[in-house]
Amino acid sequence: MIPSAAIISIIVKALRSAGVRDAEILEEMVDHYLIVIENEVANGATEAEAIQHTINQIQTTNLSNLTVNKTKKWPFLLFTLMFLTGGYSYLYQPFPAKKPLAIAELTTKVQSPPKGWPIAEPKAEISSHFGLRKHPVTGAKNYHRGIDIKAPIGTPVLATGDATVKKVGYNQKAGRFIILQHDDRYTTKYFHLSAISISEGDTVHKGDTIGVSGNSGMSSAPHLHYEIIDQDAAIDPIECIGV
Amino acid sequence: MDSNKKFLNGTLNTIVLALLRENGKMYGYEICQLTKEKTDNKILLTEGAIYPTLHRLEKDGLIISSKEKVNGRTRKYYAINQSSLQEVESQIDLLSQFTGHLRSLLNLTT
Ligand SMILES: [Zn+2]
Repeated sequence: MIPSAAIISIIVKALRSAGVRDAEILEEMVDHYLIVIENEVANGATEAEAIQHTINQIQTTNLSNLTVNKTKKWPFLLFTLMFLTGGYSYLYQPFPAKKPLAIAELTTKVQSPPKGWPIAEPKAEISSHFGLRKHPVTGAKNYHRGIDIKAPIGTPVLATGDATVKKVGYNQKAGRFIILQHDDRYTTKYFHLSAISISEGDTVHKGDTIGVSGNSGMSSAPHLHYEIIDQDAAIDPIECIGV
Repeated sequence: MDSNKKFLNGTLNTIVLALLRENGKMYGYEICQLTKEKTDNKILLTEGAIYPTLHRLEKDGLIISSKEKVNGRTRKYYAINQSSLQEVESQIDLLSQFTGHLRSLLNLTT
């Protein structure tokens, strides 16, 4: 059984990629595609097949008329209000849910990634970009999941968006590191720190100092390694900063 | 199906109104299914066509939407706005007259 929240999240992701942004339209379309999946499963398809088929359908259907952002402010407020007062739950019963997914969470999914610059040195040089590269220490070709920002040891490292602290720790590769959870979609990671000034579970705001940069772990020179993870996939932070 | 699509362009609004008038409250998926059944699988409405049409009709005040919990999730239903019923009827009449004219133009011998 694939958890309903996972299925909904797959559908939302595909719809977002197709340009659908409006929370109310997303909710309506999610219901539509869940019916499609239910019917296919009822007709003998496996869940995985039905989901794949539905995603293909979303990708090949022209949804451009649904992508106009006609959001007025008040429906969003209304949804938030309904969610806060417990008026909304988004259970999907045929596939048992881990937890009810509320419309407010769907709204969260259309939020943008954290936009802040992660270090208190606005002009710091980027020594290694996102994507395929030769690793500076091992020399092996690999995929760089973030960006490296040159910084003298001791430069304050800043939260790039409002978040809760998901994890702080140390390992051989990342050195001293911090992982922030921004909503249920985006996390950011900060590696090679020399010191950490927050603890797991703390709430931080955009621009707060969370530690100071260093050269810990597998690092050839003092720098901050910064990542943005969209659910499971690393995305290029440069595309997000200041947008 | 592409030629159907071309013909549907100007008439989908009215077709949706006629389906809603006949069937009362319906949701998007249901309208797609009913259209498919009624036309013997010849007219397949895509999501990209039906939902924008429903949203536009609602914006124009010809239909109204309501939300209901079904299987624990929210489903958006549409129905004819009773205070626009006259306008709806006249649109359906116009299209039905027009298709009559088309028929007589296309079957010139009859
Ligand atoms: Zn790096």
